[in-house]
Amino acid sequence: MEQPDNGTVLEVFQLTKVFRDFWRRPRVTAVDGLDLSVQRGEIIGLLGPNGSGKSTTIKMLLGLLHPSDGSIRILGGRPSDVAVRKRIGYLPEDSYLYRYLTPRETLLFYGRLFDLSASERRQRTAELIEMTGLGPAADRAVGEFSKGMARRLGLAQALLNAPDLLILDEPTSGLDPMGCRQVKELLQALAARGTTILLSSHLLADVEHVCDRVVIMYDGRPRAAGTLKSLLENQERMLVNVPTLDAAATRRLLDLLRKELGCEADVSRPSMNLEEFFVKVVREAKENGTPGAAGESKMATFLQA
Amino acid sequence: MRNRILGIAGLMIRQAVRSRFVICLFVLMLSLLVGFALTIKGDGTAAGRLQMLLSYAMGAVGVVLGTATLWLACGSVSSEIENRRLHLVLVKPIRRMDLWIGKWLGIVSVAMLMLAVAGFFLAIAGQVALRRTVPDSADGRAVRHQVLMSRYLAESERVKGGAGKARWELDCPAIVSPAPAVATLRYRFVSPLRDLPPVRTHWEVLGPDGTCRFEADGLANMDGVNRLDIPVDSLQAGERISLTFRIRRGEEEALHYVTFHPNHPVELLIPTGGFGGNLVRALLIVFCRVALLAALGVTVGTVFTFPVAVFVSTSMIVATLFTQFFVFSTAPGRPSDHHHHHGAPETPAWIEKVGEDLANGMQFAVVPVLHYRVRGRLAEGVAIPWSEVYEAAGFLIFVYGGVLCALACETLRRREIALPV
Repeated sequence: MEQPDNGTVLEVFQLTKVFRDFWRRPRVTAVDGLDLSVQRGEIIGLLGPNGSGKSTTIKMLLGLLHPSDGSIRILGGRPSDVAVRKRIGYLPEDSYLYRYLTPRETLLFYGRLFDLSASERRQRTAELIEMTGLGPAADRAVGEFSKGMARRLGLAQALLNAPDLLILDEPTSGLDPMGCRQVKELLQALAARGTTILLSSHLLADVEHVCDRVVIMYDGRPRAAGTLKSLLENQERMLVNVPTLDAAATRRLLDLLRKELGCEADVSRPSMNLEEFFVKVVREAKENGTPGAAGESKMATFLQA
Repeated sequence: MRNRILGIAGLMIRQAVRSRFVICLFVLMLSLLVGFALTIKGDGTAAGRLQMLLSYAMGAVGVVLGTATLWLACGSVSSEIENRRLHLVLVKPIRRMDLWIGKWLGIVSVAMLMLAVAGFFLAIAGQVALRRTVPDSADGRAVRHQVLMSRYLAESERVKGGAGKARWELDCPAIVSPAPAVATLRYRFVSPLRDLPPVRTHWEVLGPDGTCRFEADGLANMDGVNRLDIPVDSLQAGERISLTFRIRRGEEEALHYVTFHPNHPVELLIPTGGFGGNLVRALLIVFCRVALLAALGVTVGTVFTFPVAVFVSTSMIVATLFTQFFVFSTAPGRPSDHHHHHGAPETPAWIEKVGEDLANGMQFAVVPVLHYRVRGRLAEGVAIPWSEVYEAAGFLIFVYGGVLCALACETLRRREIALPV
């Protein structure tokens, strides 16, 4: 089951899902004629308000729901193909983990489902536990975990098979800002290695930070799609980024701009967003020797290959 | 594939040993076994007490184990669909069949463990009963030769009969245990009147060449089962022997009413092995039935939610148990006879035909399930042959289990797992 030569990992054509009632009468059209093509190494964001059809689309891509119409070609095959599923990692919107298993047991169990050898299972489990910062809780039952910890474990199980296609539904929900940053850095590193990532999220800042391309859905239909640059760039305005100027130089610059443009121009200082500031403070605190709840993540060796 | 199935089976075992309901049933099973051992009195003899203990214990083990298995099996897939844990499992590279077999294997492993505990307890109970009796006493001999024994049940073929005389032929099994084991002859009379006095009888065992190997006089009751011990020295493995019966002189009056029971043939119980082997075979047949229940529960759980799956599975079991009555009541001729007597309109022939076919179909499907009964035989020391174990495994696990597995896989393939339940 090789990928097509053109590097297309996912092709969706006129995908439609109609939910029906007991008597087979159409009740709601959750996805309506979605076309989508995703290339190898891309990070694509699926955005939309609640009920816009994001999760339904993801479930159809994974074979958990059957399309009412349209077609899906994923990693060169159908979602139901075992060989295709071997190359997919999935993190659902809730982690759906077995509450009585520990993280170690959880990863060993899913490792078995991927038919990994015993030594591979043990090695990957140890590396993913370290990477997700779950080391201190590796032998505690998952039922005792906070949502953030369960999310980290959910992400670990999605990476267990070093997937070619990673499908993530709200990957950063429940994570603290450091965890969010680590996840985003991890996704960028995976994409650089060639992993294709399909990401559904309500947290637009996260999507903006990591995605190359987004599809915005509303009422089951794609309403906007394209690269972030093409969708967000304001062609009417320009931003000149220079080191800080003194007051006289700033006045001269503004006068020149007014004369050239014939309209008002202003000067302001760029500011960090709160997440960047938070991460900076925490990193400084760590450098000063204060241990934190979750350490810096080191990417698992099997994901670097 | 093996890795995946074992992974799912291992998870199912963990789930079972954490289930409070299953733990409660396991404790209940042990309590019942201990309770029976301490309280059962039977007919006052050690053999009777042990027979009753074995019979009750096997019944209790079957019921408790069946309940635990059905509970676990019905929830194994349906609960995981409801709490969506199956989403994460089914997106992994596993086939639907791997999931079914893994779940089933986990459940039957737990059942096997519970059966092994019950079997160990019964083996200990047998040894305790044996040690508590005086070896040479009648009670001790009865425990050793009638209960803690595996005896081949040779059904005879009547070749000659007359007033007060009869002759049967039967085949000895390929293995006959050496002395001091004894074979037991069992026979019943039809009693036309109550309180008839016992009749004096004479039995002979003849070899294939007609030579008398053993003869004995006895006193036979007109009611109930009569037994006669025959030394195993008079029997040889694999040969065809003859049994002759006659009423002794002076009992001429009995010639008028002594008739062998037509529904209970003369049987010879020939010792072929020990109690341990028989117990293992009995438990294996119980295991096959439990394995079928596990298959039924897992399959029904792929279609329905957990409470509905429990209800449907239980209903199917009850329907199975009642099928024989249904078959009887729809036997040809019965409905129309009934209507004629009451002047009611006659049922159309095609309805009777459909009913009859349905009954026959149900009988065909259900009879093998009800066929394998071991409780009474284990208690009476009657051998449960390996051939029956293989047959039970073939029918109950491979044929019925295979059909249920195929149904479940097709259901899982068609079902949209992520649809709200």
